[in-house]
Amino acid sequence: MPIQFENVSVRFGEAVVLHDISLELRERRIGLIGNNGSGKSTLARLINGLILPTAGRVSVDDLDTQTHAQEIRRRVGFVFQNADAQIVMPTVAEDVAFGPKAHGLPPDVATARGAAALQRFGLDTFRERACFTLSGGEKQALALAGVMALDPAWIVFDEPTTMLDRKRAKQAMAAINGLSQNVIVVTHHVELLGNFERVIVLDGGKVVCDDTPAKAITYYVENFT
Amino acid sequence: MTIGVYVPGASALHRASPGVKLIGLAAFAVCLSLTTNLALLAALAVGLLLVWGSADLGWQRLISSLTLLKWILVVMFVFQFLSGGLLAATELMLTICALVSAAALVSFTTRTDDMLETLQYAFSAFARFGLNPNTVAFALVFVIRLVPFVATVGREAIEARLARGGGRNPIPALVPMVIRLMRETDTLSEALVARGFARP
Repeated sequence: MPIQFENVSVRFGEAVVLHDISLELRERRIGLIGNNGSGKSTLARLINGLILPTAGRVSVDDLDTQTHAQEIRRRVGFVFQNADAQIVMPTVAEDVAFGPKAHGLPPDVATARGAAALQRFGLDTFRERACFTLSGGEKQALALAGVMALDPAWIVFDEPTTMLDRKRAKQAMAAINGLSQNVIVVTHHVELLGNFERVIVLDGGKVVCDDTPAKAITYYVENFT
Repeated sequence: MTIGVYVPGASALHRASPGVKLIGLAAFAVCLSLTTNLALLAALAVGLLLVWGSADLGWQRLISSLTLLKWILVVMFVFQFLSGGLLAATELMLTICALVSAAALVSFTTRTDDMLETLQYAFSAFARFGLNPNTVAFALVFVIRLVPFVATVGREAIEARLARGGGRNPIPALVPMVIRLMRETDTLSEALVARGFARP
């Protein structure tokens, strides 16, 4: 089932951040681009129920984010720009098992899921390490492992490459492309979206282009850079 | 330096149940607060050092835990010295150092998950009064996660001041530090919700 935005608007006080957005997202690889303040991060947060719409409806698998946010968060993982902000427990093993436990899985199942996710990202030897002693790249891997431990159907990445150099940004995108989940990536690095299926351009809280990467990126570069 | 974070080990303290350690910590804190005799305080502190030694944590961790408090200790010592004299100031320093070391000892030898489980059980008795035991327990345990985070933000605030030609005095760095902490705390709370920690 897709993610649906039906006439969604978001206001923060007097400011209209998103205006009457209607979208149906079902492709496996979707990019969201736009300049600062265009509303792309707000749009991404709506999917996970981190922000609720002021008007309209956002649904995932036909579950409304207004009423089923917790269930939706199990189906939609969210990876933040700053991995440090996503790490909530002191040690690696505890952090990766945090999500499954918070969603009510039995502790042994949560721990097993966490261990499997750590192994997948090459972090299994760091199990007892304090999270804040990890390198930047390791923290990013841990943040992703923490999301993967829930085995979500969708993963939203909010500017995953902004704090990385070009080499690491390419590595991160290769890792994202290798995921079996449906992926939505918010980014300024449009060149990394070349092999995506769909790219949406936002400006002033509105969708101004929704097309293939080639066409959408060309539109963005010509009009906003 | 891994302040407050569990250090794997096989000592008797590592194996002891978190509940026993927390009760022991509370009892130790009560003893410290009731004792005004310097010799007795010193005896309690020596006892604590012996337990620390048996936990195989290394002395550097103890020093690091106390170093983190150096400015607070200096301010409190000066204040107490001026108002109560050298003996009172020494007693206060000994009490605070012993208490912080005891708390560090418990957190270094207890897995956060085990601590969380114990606190949830302890607070479950208050659920009938509307208290959410999971939220309260998590808030207490989350402090451990925040210690290195606050230390990093504080260090960066002082470095930023130095880079702009300011001195090493940490007081003027407090305002930018608090502002940044508030902003980062917002992000952390958003991450908690995103990862399934339900809004109360």
